[in-house]
Order: sequence, then C-alpha cells, then structure tokens
Amino acid sequence: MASLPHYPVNDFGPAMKGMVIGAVGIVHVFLAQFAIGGGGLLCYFQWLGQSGREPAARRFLDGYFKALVLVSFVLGAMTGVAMWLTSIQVGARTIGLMIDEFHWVWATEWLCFAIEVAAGYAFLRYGARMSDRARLWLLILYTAAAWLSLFWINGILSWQLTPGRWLETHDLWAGFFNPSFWPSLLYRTLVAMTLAALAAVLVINTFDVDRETRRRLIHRAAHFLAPMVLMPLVALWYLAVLPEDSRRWLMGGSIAMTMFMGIAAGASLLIGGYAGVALLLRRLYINGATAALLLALAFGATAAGEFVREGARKPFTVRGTMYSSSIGIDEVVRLRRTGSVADDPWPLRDPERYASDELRLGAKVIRTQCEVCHTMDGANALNHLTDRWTMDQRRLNIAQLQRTKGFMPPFAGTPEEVEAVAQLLAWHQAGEPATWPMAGDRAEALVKIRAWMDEAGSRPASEVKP
Amino acid sequence: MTSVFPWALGGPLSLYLGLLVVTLALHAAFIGYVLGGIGWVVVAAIRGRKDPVSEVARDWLPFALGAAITAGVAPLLFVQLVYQERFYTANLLLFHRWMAVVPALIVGFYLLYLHKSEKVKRRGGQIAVAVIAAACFGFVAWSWTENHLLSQDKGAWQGLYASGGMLYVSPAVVPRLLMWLMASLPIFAAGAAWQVRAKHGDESAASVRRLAIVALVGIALSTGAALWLWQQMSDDARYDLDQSMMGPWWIALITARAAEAIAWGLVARRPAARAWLARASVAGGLAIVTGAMVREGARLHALEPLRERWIMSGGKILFAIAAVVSIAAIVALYKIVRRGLAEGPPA
Repeated sequence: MASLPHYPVNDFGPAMKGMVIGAVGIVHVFLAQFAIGGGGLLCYFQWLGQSGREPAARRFLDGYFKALVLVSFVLGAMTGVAMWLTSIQVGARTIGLMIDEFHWVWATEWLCFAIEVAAGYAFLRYGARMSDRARLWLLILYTAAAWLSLFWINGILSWQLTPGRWLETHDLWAGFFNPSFWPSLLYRTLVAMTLAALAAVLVINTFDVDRETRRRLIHRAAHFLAPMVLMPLVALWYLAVLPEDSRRWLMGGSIAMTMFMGIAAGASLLIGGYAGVALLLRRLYINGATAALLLALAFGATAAGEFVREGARKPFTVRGTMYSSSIGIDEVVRLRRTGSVADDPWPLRDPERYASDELRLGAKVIRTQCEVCHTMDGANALNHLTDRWTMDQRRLNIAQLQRTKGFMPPFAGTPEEVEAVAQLLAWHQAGEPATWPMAGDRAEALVKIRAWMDEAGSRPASEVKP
Repeated sequence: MTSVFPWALGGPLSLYLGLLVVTLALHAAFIGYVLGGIGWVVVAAIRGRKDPVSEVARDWLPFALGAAITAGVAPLLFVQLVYQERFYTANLLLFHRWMAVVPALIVGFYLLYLHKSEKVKRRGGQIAVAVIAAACFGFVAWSWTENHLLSQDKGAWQGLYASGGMLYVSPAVVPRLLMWLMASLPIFAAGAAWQVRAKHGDESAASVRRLAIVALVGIALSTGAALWLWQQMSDDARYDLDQSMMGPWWIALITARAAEAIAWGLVARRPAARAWLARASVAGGLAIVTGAMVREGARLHALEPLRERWIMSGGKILFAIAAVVSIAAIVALYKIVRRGLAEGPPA
C-alpha cells in the first residue's frame, strides 16, 4: 500500500474514539434494521387487511407507518449521515480506503435508499386515499428497496471483518461476497424482523381500540418473531466463518468480548423465549411497559452484538490490510525505518507542556498510533494499563505490542519512538515534572528495543509464531 | 482540465466529478426549497397571518428536508473521492461543528413536523418553532460553508489545529453563505408557485406574484453576494475560474440567471401565465446545474490525483444497471400512486 496522508487527530477528552462511533453506530443500526423489518411487517398486515383476515389491519398500518417515518426516516437517516462524519473523525484513512474500494456499491445503496424514502413518503402522504392493491405494491417497493440497502451495506461491513479472496485478487465481488456475507445478511434480516415486531407491539398499545382487537393485532405482529428460532443456527454459521484468532477472542480469549457475546445471546434468548411461549403458543396479551422492556432488551442485544462484531475485527479495521490505528499492514516495515511521525505535519497543541523533545516525540507517536483506542487517563487509559510496569517492561511490551495483547497491532515506528513512548508514560506517571532528565543508558536501551522488535517481527499476532 | 467538459479530466475522475455536480444540483434544489420555505414560514409566523404559500410550505417542508438529506448523501460520497484529503482534513479540523450539525438537523426536522401538525396553537409558540428550525438550518448552512472554504485553505490548517480553534475565520464566509441563502429564494418560489397553482387554481395569482417578487429579490441579492465573494476569493480559486475552459460555464450560468430573472419579471406582471412560470423554473434549474459546475471549477486545482485503485475498482456496471432500475422504480411508484388514488380506498 502506498503511503497515505497524515490527518489531524482530535482529542475526545476522557472518551476514546471507538466509543463515539460505537454510540452513533449502534443507534443507527437499531433504527435502520427496524425500518427494514417494519417494511416487511407492513406488507404482511396490508395483506391481512385486504384479504379480510384482519379487520383492524388498516388502522394498524397507518399508525405504525407514522411511527416508522417519525423515528426511522428522521433519526435513522440522520444517524446515517452522522456515521459518515464520525467515521472520518475516528479513522479517515479507513473510511477513505472503503470509499475507494466500494464507491459504486455505496452509490448503488444510495439509489435503493432514495427509492425507499420516495416510496415511504408516497405512502405517508397518499396511502390513506389509495386502494388496497396499490398500497400493497407501494409497501413491497418500500420493503424491497430497504432490504436491498441492507444487502449492499452488509457486503461492505462484512468485507472489513472477512475480506476473503479480495486480499489476493482485489476483485470487488470477491470482497463483497466474502465468507461472512451470507450469515451476516441472514442474521441482520432476522434481527430486523424481530425489532419490527417488538416495535409493533409497543405501537399497538398506544391505539384506542378494545382489548380483544389489541390482543389479536399483537398476536399477528408476533408472527414476525417466529423466525428468531433460526438465530442460534445462523449465529453458529457466522462464528464458524470468522478467522480463527477472532473466534478465539469471542470464545474466552478476551473475556470482555465473551461477556458481550453472552449478553447478546442471553438477551436474544429471553426475547425469543418470551415470544415463543407467551405470544405465539399461549397467545397472551402484552402491555406497553412489557413491550418497551422487550424493545430495550433488543437494543441491548444489538449494542452487544455490534460491540462483538467490531471487537472481533481487532487489530484491524480491514483485516489483513489496515490496522485499527489506520496504519496499513504493509507500511509497518517502512515506518520502523523512517519513524511513524517523521513526516507528520500536525503540531502538538500544547508542546510547552512536555519537559523534553523526547517526550514531545512520544506524545506525537501516542497520538498517531494509540489514541484511536486509548486515552491517557480516561477510557481504556494508557496510564492505568501501564502504571505498574517497570521501565524495561514498558519498552518490551510496546516493542512487542502484538505479543503483549494479540488484538493490538505491531508497533509501527523506530526504537527511538518506542523509547519516547515509554519515557512519556513514565513522566506522566511521575506527575509530569518540569524537568525529565535523560536517565539511564539510552544507547543500550535502544539496542535492546531493536532486538525485541526484530524478534516479534512486523506482522500481526495472527501471523506471529511463538 | 483543458476542456469545458469534465470528461477531459480522463478516467474515473471525470465520471466522479460529473456525478458530484449532478447530484449536488439535485441536493441544492431540495435544500433551496427548505431554506427559502423556512424563511417564508418565519415571516408568516411573525406577521401572524396564514397565506396559501406558508400553508403549502408548512405541508411540504418535512418532505423537502427528507429529500434534501437523501439527495445530499450522493454528493457526500463523491466528494470523498475527488477531494478526499481536503474534505477529511476540514472535517477533522472543525470536528466540534460536525458533532453539532447532526443534532441540529434532527431538532430542525422534528420542528418541521411539529409545525405541520399544528399542535402548537399560540402565536408565540409558532414563531419560536419556526425561528428555532430556521436557526438550525442556518447553522448547518454556515458549517458547510466554513468547511468548504477551509478545505480550500491549506495554509490555515496547521494554525487552526495547533490553536484548537472551533471557528475558521475567512472574509469569504459571509458572502458565500449569503449567496447560497439568497439563491434559495427563487428555488423555493418556483416550487411553491407550482404547488399553490395546483391547489388554488386561478385564485393563486396574488400568491404567485408575491413569490415572483421574492424570486427577483433573491436573484438580485445572490448576484450581489456572488460579486462580493469574487473579491474575497483566494488567488487559486480565482485563477481556476479565470481559465478559458470555464468560459462557457460562466456564460451558461449568467444566461440562465438572466433568463430566469426576465421570466420571473413577467410572472410578476402576469401571474396567471403558466408558460412564464415554466420558463422561470427551467431557467432556474439550468442556473442550479451551471452554478454547481462553476462551484467545482473554483477548486479544480485541489482535485485528488487519479488513483490506480479507482481504475481497478469494479461496480460501474452494477451502478449503471441500478440507476436504470431505480428510474423504472420511480416511474412505477408514480403509476402505483396514481392508480391507487384513482381506485380510491375500500368502502
């Protein structure tokens, strides 16, 4: 990969950048999947209504569609725009690479989105005055466009995790129809149906109709929860196609990821169990509070699932191509020679704060290589992670970063930069004194660091042999 | 570039730039309706009088904003290709602003729906809803203007980053913002005039005349702001716009603007004449497209170099097929709605 430009790096205070995009991304995914499943559910109810199976279907449709538009068309669309803007904040190089590779797919997805919006607004504006047959066709058009939008985006997102043969061929379709494409698409479709049904139950509870009608509508909506029974199988399929190291993180290698996966699975199981037993088999009534609780549980499952999906990709943003630090996998060797910040044009915002040039170098290196996932004292703080380490431990662990933690990328800089980071951490932990003498024998330290770096190599942990 | 057509850039770059211009023009048409419309709604709310134009605007503004946002995604995609480094850098430098743009748009969007629902009965409340929505959209317009100008001003980047400043100060910000805001008036006037005519028929003459006057004011003020902007532009931008290949685009823009002004003048005199409104609308549409081209002409020096990855990148055929299918889908959608309305709801 050719050298990519240096972008300015922003400080988000105690929040790490991953948290910012995580928050926006989870809300967007939740709303977008609700919109997709909502379309299918509306088609189902329209059919129930026009075939005489459900007299209150039309009433449901008009109420549900207003909720869909107000929540999904506004918040969903806007969080979609926010995803672009926050992606740039978190990893401009990564989003640039994705755009370069998949812009035609993205442009195609935009066409689908435009049809979805046009069909949606047409239904909102004219639906009540239209014939049943036309309403059904309009809803089918809306649903097909919404689902195709997911189809295209899913290819790009799953490519990040499992680029497959694209790594050798750089062929767009090899990357798009990558190993996790189908399980991911199927799983997201099932989630979309679940969210739509749970939201429907909540909306039905706001209708001014008798309890029997409400119970009947709830039972109809619950039909969309039935495919949840396939979720465990699809999840296992998804797990099976993950790269071995990613799967290891999820299966106990990283307890945080294992726990989040457990939360996602547990929450889905609870929803599925409740839906299966209470709503489908026993046809129980469900009130607004319970419906809201189930929807909140589904939001929790979505959040945990997205966390796991993002976490499983570490240390990459695009597996085998670009690390989470937005440094290309093939750039590491060169940067170990030239330094990662030698041509960084962006000055430090508070250079006088640091007691020496070496510490200023360390601050720049941390900004370039660490700040996407770490802060100094806030979330995932470097200070907290390293404050019990000895100086040699700091040097060794940074020099062999991919061995220190398997989901960290290899250090992409010179031994001098490793030393500068180690010194900066020590200086910060010492309370940032006004002077920081060049203690110890640096030449000897640099020789050791170089040896450690050479020993670990410049490849990711998944390729490092013990 | 040595030709008046973007395809002279060669390879995929010309295609991206062409699509950027076309989709930006589409976005500008909808956003012009939103900005002009919210301005009209604010004035109507302050005056405390309902008129056919403000009623139409109240009804259609949420849709127009939804369409503007949807249409805006496409130029947002293509700008990331042809001006990648500059666009990303400007976004990163003004990141506080970008974190605020989305919440501002969400608030503005919901306020438009609130205004449409007529749930706010008191006059003070109606004024507040309209003014806050207008402020939200004004904030977004100002942020985009600053972002665009900062992306062109490489010399300011390091200083702004080092200072941690949240504001990019340039003498071009105010005239540029003013130019776009005033240019939104004839766009809104054209859309609203057709809508008022469709709704009120011959009784719409007074409203159409008022819209024609607003359009003329907008054309005059946006032209004045454009001249002011020309004086404040960077040397690089002026140099690009001075190139001979930009000549035909300048001529087309000025001709379209002049034709639009003449047509609006005649609409003001004969508001019932449908033909002059049609000519004003067509000329306005041409002014948007040629204006978008001139806008890009000012930053041709900043285009990304052609990348090997773009040439290798597949998917062009997919996009071409999808574009054809999408047009067919929109036609089908129109037919479905017409037929559905003709058949009417079940008894």
